[in-house]
Amino acid sequence: MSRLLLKGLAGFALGLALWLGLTEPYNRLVAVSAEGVVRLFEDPNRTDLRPDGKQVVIYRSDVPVGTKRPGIPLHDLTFNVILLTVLFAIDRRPFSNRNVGMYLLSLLILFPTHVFALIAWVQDLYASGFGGEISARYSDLEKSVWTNAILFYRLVGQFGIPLILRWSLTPEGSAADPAAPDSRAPKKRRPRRG
Amino acid sequence: MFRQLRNRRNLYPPLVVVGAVPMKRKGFVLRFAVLLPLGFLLVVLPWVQTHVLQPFTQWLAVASAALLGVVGHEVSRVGTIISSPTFAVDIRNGCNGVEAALILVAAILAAPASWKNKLIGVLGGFVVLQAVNLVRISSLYLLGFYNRDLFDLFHSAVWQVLIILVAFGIFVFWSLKIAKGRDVAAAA
Repeated sequence: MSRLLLKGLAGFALGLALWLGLTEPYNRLVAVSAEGVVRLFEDPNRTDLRPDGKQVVIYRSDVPVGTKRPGIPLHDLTFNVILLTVLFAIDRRPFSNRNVGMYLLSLLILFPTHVFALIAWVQDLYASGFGGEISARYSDLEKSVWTNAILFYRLVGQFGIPLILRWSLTPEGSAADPAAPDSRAPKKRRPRRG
Repeated sequence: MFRQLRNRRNLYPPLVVVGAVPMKRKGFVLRFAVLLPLGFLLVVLPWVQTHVLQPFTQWLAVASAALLGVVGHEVSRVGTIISSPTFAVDIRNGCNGVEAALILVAAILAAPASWKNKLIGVLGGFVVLQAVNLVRISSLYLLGFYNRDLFDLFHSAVWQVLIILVAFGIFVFWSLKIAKGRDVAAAA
């Protein structure tokens, strides 16, 4: 139990250090990717997402200069990397090739979810926050979909994804396995012969 | 077949294991992935927000204010806001533990166990989770009172992750010690 706690603490410290240390370059990568995807569906291209510290600020070419630019706290969408790191750190053999490989694979899978979350937040702002001509382009259904998409991600999605990755990519019998055999459960005895 | 999988797993670790998730676990993960959005849809219903979550969050504010009083911080409370002359916190969705409760409930309902054990897990887990959440809210208030930078870090990341880890820990404890043990004992 104490070893598990120690592993969890070490994973937490590592995840926190990763998240704090790489926030700015990672935000740039997520912002560039999200901007590319948003622009695929824009004609002409209006969206310009610029990372500014822990935020991503939305610049739109059709919004007058001097208007207040809305910012999205991107670090609020990416901190689930800490949770993911803890979940892989508590493995029985955290430094095994398999576990490290799965952790790196999970980080790769997490990246597009962060991009999608940023896109959803940007679209939610366009649909409901900007008002005027920009918001008028969105139907009520579209507004509802984007609002609920970002709400879902922020409330439970960002926590559910690391758990699903952990459960999907680790073998049965690990500490987090709901189907792991209980060592304390009474075992059936073989009847003695003879 | 399993030996083959094991051998292939050694050769191509990241790729083969994804396709080799055992069916029992696959079923659990699929049920969890379906139940989580369903739980979300339930809690965003306006009726649930007004008649369940708001009164519950107000009760949390009352309990947190009382806990802060016990540790020597007299605060006033209006609705879901706890305040003193220099600092105030507003408890909203995401701070009321609903996200951790949804994760826990979805995981317990998705797991292979009897309904009786699921009920024990949901009720017991919810009580433990909210006890930890009271500590979370009170500690966040104290952090904000003394150090705003630490408050931001703990509010936006540290406590959010910790409360989910508590839910995860409760689930693991339940699945290993309560559900599995008793189910196996009953079946034996």
